Amino acid sequence: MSELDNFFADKLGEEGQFPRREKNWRSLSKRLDAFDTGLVQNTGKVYRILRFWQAAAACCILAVAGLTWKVVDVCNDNMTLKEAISRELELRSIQAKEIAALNSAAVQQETYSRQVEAESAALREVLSRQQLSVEFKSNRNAAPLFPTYPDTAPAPAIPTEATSPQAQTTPTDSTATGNSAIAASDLPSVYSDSIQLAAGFMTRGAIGTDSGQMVIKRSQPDSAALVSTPKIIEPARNPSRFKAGIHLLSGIPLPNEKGVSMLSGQGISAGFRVWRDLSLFATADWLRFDISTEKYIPKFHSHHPHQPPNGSQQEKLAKVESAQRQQQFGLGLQYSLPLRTWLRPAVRIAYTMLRVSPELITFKFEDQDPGGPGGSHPPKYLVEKTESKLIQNIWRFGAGLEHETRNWTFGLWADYSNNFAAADLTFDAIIIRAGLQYKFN
Amino acid sequence: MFFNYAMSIARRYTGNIESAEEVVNDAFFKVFTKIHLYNGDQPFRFWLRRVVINTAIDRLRSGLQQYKVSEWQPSHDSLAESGIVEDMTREQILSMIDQLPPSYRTVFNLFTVDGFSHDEIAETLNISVGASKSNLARARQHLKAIFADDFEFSRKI
Repeated sequence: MSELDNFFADKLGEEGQFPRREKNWRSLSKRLDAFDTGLVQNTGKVYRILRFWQAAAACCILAVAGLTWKVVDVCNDNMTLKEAISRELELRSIQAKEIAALNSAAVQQETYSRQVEAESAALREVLSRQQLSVEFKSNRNAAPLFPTYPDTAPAPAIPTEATSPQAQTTPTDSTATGNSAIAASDLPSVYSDSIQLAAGFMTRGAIGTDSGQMVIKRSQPDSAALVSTPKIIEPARNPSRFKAGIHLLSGIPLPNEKGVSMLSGQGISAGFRVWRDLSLFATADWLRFDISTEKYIPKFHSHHPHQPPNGSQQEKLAKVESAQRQQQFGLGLQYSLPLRTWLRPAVRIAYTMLRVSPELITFKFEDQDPGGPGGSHPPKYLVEKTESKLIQNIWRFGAGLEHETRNWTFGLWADYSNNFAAADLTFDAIIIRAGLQYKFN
Repeated sequence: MFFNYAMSIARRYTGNIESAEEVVNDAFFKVFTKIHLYNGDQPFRFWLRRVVINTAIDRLRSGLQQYKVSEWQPSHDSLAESGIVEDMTREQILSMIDQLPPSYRTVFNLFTVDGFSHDEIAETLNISVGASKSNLARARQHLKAIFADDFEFSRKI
C-alpha cells in the first residue's frame, strides 16, 4: 500500500461520531415486529428464491394434477375396453355354440333324409305291388305327388276313409289334372296306408317334387346371418370439457400515476365448457407492484385508508413507498365466438375478489423551512405496517384470442378490471395475460 | 455500542448520512434476524462489519441508492496556509472520498480501508480481478488529482 493508501486508511479507519435518531430505531423495531409476524419485507436473495419456488411449486401441482387426471382417464378407457372385449367374447361364444348346434342339426337332417329315402323306396314298393303306375314327370308343370306347404302352414289332417279325399284338395291341387293327377276318388281304400305314409312325410317336413326327384325342403337357419359383424369398438371419449393451466400477466394500474410501477405476476386458471361455446372459468393471480409516489394516493393503499398526520406544520409529505402484493380470485363466464379460424376470439366477464397482503408503507416527511433555527433538518420517516384486506365486487371484462391444438390451448387476454364496490377502495387496471392450458380429454 | 462503528463503515460506502442510516438500519435488521449465523469464531465487530459492507454493496447494486454526493468545499486558505495535511479531519477526508464515482469509491474502501484483497473484491462485487485493480488505480488517480488541485499536495505524496 502506498503512502496515500495508508493516509486514507488511518483517517477513515477511525470511528466517527454520529447522532442517534429515534426514528431509525422505531423503524427497525417495526421491521423486526413485522418479521416476527411473518411479514418479511426483505427483497433479498432468499425472498426471490422463495418466489421462484412458489411459482415452481404451483407448476408442479398443476402438472401432477394433470397427470393424475390423465391416468384416471386412461384407466376409465381401459375399463370400458375390457367390458367391450368381454361382451364381444361372450357374443362369439354364443355364436360358436349356435354354429355347433346347427352343424349337429345338419347331421340329424342328413340322417333324417336317408330315413325318408328309405321310406320313399318302401312307398314305391307298396305302390308297385298294388300295380299302380305312378309316373313322375320330368316336366316342371307336373303336379307333385304330395302337396307342399309353407313352413308356417299347418299340416293337413290325415285323410281317413270317412272324409272325402276331394275335400283335402290344397291350392297346389288345382294343377293336378290330366295324366299326372291321381284322383283321390279313384284311389281304393287299400291305398290308405300309402296316404298315411305320405302324411307322415308332411308332418316331418315339406316334400316336393322337382325333376322327378323328391326334394326335402328344410328350413335351415342362415349361419352367416347368425354370425353378427363385429362392431368397431371406439374408446368412450367425450369432447374435452375441462382445461387448466398457468399464465403470466402484466398490467397498468389506473389511474396511471407517476411512481407506480406496472403490475406483474403469475397465476393459474381453469375452465369448464358448460354448453357449446360457453365456458365457466376461474383464475387465481398473484400480483406485485411498487409504489414510490410523492403524494398519498388512497386508491393504491386500500388497506391504509388515511395519510398519517405531519409531525409539525413545517413538515411536508415528500414520498410514500411500499411494495404491494395482491391476490386476485376470479370466477366468470367465457364465450368463444363460433369461428373456424386459427385464432379464435372470445369474450369473458368475471367476478373478482381481491386480497391485499400486509405491507410496510414508508412515509417520508421533509422540512419545508430548512433555513430555520438549527439549519436543515433531516427528513423524517414513518413506517406503518398494514393488515391484509379483502375487497369484493370487482368485475373484470376481457377479450382475447385463443389457439387450440389437440391437447393445449394458448391464450392472450386483455382484461379491464373495474371496482364497483367504492370509488376509492382500490384502483382499476388493464391487465394482459398470456398463458397456456391443458385440455383434459 | 456498535452504532457508530456501523455508521462509520456505511458512511464511507454511501456518500451521505441518510443513506448510511438506511444501510445501518438494514444491516442491523439482518444482524437481528440472522444472528444464528454468527458462529463466534471471529469477533462480533468483524462479522458486523462484513454485514454492513455487504448491505451497502447490495444497495449499490440494486440501484435504489440516491447518490447525494455532497459537494466538498475545502477551506483552501486555512489548510493550504498551514500545510498540515495530517490535520485534516475525518469528515474532510470522507468528503474527498465521496467525490469518487461509486464503483471507484467502493473498491478503494474495500482495498484500502477494509483490507480486502483483489480476489475478495472481485468475488464480492462480481467483477474480474483486473477490473478491481483498474478501479483502484483510477481511484488513486482521482484522489491525487483532488489533492493536486486543492492543496498542491501531490509532490509530497
